Amino acid sequence: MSFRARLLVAFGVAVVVPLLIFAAGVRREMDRRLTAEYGARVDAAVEGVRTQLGREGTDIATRLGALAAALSQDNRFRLATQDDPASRRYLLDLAGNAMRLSGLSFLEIQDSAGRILSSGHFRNAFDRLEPALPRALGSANGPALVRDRSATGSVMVLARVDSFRVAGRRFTVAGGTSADAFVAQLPRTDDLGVTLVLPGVDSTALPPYRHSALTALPIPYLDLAAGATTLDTARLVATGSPETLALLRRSVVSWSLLALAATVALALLLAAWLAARVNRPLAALAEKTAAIDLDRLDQDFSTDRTDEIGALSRLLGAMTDRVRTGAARLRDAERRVAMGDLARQVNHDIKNGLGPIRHVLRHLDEVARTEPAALAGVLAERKGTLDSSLAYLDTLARNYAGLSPALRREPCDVNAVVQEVVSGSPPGRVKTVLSAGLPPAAADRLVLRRIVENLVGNAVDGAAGRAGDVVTVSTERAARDGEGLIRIVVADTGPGMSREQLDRAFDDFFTTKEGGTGLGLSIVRRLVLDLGGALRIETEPGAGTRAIVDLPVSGESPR
Amino acid sequence: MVFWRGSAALGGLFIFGCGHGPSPAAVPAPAAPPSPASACLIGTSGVASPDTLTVIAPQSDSAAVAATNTFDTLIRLDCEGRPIPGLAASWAHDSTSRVWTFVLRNSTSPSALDLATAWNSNDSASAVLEVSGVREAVADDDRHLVVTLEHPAESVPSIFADRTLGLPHPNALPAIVVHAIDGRDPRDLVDRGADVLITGDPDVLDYASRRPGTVLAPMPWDRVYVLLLAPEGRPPAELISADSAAFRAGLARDAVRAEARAARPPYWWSDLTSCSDTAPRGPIETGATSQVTIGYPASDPVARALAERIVALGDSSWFARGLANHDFEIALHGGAMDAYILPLPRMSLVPCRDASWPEGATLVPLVETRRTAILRKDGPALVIGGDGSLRPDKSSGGP
Repeated sequence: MSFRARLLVAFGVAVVVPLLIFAAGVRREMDRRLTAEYGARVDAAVEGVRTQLGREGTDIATRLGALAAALSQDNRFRLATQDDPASRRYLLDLAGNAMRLSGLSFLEIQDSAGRILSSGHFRNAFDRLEPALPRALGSANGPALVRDRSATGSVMVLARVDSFRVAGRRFTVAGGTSADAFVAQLPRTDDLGVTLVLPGVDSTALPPYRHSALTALPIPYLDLAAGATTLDTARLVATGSPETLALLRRSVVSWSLLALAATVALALLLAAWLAARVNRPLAALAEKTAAIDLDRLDQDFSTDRTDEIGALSRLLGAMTDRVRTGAARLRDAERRVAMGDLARQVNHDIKNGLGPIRHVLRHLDEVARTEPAALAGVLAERKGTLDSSLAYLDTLARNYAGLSPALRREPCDVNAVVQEVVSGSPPGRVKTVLSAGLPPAAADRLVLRRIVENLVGNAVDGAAGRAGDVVTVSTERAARDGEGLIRIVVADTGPGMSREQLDRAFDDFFTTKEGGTGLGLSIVRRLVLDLGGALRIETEPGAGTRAIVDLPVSGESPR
Repeated sequence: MVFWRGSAALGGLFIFGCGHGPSPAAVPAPAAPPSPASACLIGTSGVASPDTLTVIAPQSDSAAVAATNTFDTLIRLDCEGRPIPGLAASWAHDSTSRVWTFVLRNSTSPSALDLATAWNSNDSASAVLEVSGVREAVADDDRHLVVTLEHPAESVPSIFADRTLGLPHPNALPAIVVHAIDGRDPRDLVDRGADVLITGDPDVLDYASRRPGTVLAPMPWDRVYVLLLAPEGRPPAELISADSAAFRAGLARDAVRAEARAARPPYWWSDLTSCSDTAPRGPIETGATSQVTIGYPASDPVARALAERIVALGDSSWFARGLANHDFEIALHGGAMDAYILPLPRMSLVPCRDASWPEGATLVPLVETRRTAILRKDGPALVIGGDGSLRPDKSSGGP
C-alpha cells in the first residue's frame, strides 16, 4: 500500500469512526428522551380524559337530576302517565323539549317496565320497550357510552340515568351528550390525540398515525342499536404519533450522514493534499537519487524548502557532493594506480625491449674485443634481433601514445564513421542497422573511429570461431534527462561475460583473449568520457554482449 | 285525437257557425245549482271584503292560495267537494248524460267562445280534457257551452273545476297577496295581525286560540299521506301489515304533530285502470343494500313523522331519509329506496294526471290532514274552496 493510500485510509478511519459513534449516541439519547416525553404526555392526556369524562358525567347527572325533579312536579306529565288523552301529545313532545332546554343530545323517559314514554332524539320511538337502557346505565359506575337507534341511523352518546316517582310509580330518565362532540373537544395536537375504539374494532385498523396506541381508558359501552342488553367495554385510546420521533430520527440520520460525507470528503481531500505535498518532493528526490551513479553525480539537490524534505534534499545534495569528491579522488587514485601500473609495465616492457639490445651490444662488445674481424659478421647476424627489439619498442611507444589522444569536438557523421569501420571488417561478420536522419555527434572523428574500431574489433574477436555469430552495429537517436543523444550499439552473439569479468572489463590490461593488450575497453571508456558521452556494457554469459555508447548531439553542450 | 288538439279559435267558430254539436233544443232546462255548504264559510259574516287580503301559508299551500281569485273556472267545488257555480251559473245534461250544456253568468266577461278557444289553444288544458274523457267542447252562443263526454256522467264532471281549465281573472277583488311562512315563526305573523294565516302547527294554533282577536277555522281535509311500497321492496309484508285502522289512528293521534285522522276511503287512485295507457308512469326500482330505507320529502313534517314512526316500529335495519323535493321526485322515479311517504291531494279532479308514482307500486293510505285558517276577528267572511282556495263571501255584500 502506498504512502498516499495509507494516509487516506488513516484520515478516513480517524474521522469516520468518531463521527459514527457520536451520531449513534445522539440518536439513541434522543430516542430515549423523546419516548419518555411521549409517554409522559400520553399519561397526562389519559388523565385529562379521565378528568373530563368524570366532569362530563357529573354534568349530565346534574342535568338529569334537575329534569327528574321538574318532571316529578309536572302536573301535565302526571296526567299523561294516567292516560289522559289531552296530555298525550304533551308527553310525546316532552323529552324533545326538555332535551333541547337542557342542552342534551339524548333523552329518554321510560316507565318502570322499560316502555319509552317520550324520546327526545327519536320522538316517534314511543311505546317501544327498551328496559336494557336504564338497567345498564344504572349498573355503570359513571357515564357510559350508548349507541341507540334514531330515525336516520344511530346516535352515540355519553349517557347516565336518573329516576323519579310520580303518583307512586317509578320512572327513569336517561340522557346524555354527543360522544363525538365529547371526543372532538378533547385536547389534541398533531402528534397526540384521543380516539374512541368500540368493542370488536381492531385498533390497528385505525388511521396510520394512531397505530402506536399507548394507553387506553376503558368506558362502559351499550350498543342498543345492535340489540345489546348488557354493557361491553369501549376504549378511549390516547395515542402518540411515532411520526415526530421518526421524523427526528430520520433528520438526525440524514444530518449525520451529511456531516459524515462532508467530513470524509474533506478528510480525503486534506489527506490527498498532504500526501501530494509530502509525496511529490520525496518522489522527485527518489528519482534524482535513482539517477545517481559514479558517472552521473551532477544531480542538483538544491532547494528553498525549510522543512524536513528540504533538509533531506540538502543532505542528499551534500552526500552527492561527497560522493562526487570521493569519485574524483577515486578516479585520481585509479589513474595514479594505472599510471604506476603503466610505468611499471612500461619499465617492464622497455626492459624487455632493451634486454635483447643489451645482450646484442654486450656480444658485439665482446666480439670487438676478442674477434674484431668477426664484428661485421656478428653484427649482421644480430641485426635482426636489434630491429625486432626496436620495432617492439616503437610499437610499444605508439601503443602508449594512443592512451592520451588529442581531442577535437566537431560535428561528426556517426553513420559514416560506422560504415568506414565496418568496411574494413572481415566480410559477412558485421552488419549495420543505421538510423536515417541522425544528427551529427559532437566528437573527434578520429577518436570516434578508434572507439568504434575497438568495440567492433572486440566483438569480432569475441565472436570468432562460432558459426553464425554476427556482430551488429546500430545507431539511433536517444535521450536522457531531456538531453538528446546519439546512441551506438555494438552487439555480438558471442559467449558474453561473467559478473566478475564485467567488473574488470574496463581495467587496463585486463583481457580474456589470447594476445590481447587489455587496453581496448579501457581506452574506449576513456575516449567516450573525454567526448562527454557514456559507455555501458550489457552482457550475460552465453547471451552475447552489447556495448552501448551515448554521445552528445552536436550543438547541445554535454552536462 | 279529440278535436281541440291543434285546432284554433276559428275552428270553434266554424263548428259553431255550421251548427255542429248538440242542439240546444234537446237540452233540458238547467237545474238550480247548489250553494256552498255552510261549513265552507269562515270568518266574520257581514264584514265587507277589503281590496287586498294578505294570506300567510306554508310553502306547500302557497300555490293553491295564490290562485285564489285569479282564475275563474266553469264550476267550483266547495269545501265538501260539491260543485257550485263558477263561470257557469247552471248546467244540465241531455238524456244520454253525455252532452252537458253550461249556461254562463250574464255578468261574466268571458263568453262561452272565450272559454272554448282558451281550452283549444292551451296544451295543458287539452291534455287534461283528453285524459278526463271529454270528447269536445263547443260554444253554442255567448252563454252556452256544450260539452260532449266519452262516457255518460250522472253528475257534472268535477274536471271543470280544475285550475288548468280556468281563465285568468287578475283584477278580481280582493287581491290575494300570499306570503310563504319561510321558516319564520308563524306566531310572529299572528301577532302582526295578518288577515289569514294557514297552518297545521299545533303550537301555533294553540297560541292563536289563546289570543282574543283571532278566529280559527278548520280547512277541508285536503291531504292524504300514503306509504308507497316498491313492488320489489323489502320487506313489503311487514310494512303492509301496518295498514290497519288502529295503526292509522295511532299514527294520526300520536306520531303526527298536526291535525290528522286516519285515512278514509274511497281513494281516488283506487281505480286508475282507465287511464293506465296515458299516465306517464314507469317501473319503480329498489335499493340494493340490506337496509330498508323509507324516503320522505324533508320539507313536510307530517311525512317525516310518519316515516320515523314506521322506522321506530321496524328493526334496526330500517331508516328514514328526508330528501329535498326535487331529489325526492328523482328517488321516487329512479329507485334506491324501498318505500316512500307520499303526500297526495285527498281529492283529485284529474286522477290520471295526479297519479304520478311509478307503475306497480302499492299505496297504503295512512292519515289525512287538514290545516286551520287563523283569521282576524274583524276580517272578511271567506268561502273555502275544495282545492284550498279562499274567496270572499259574495253573499255578505262584498264587492
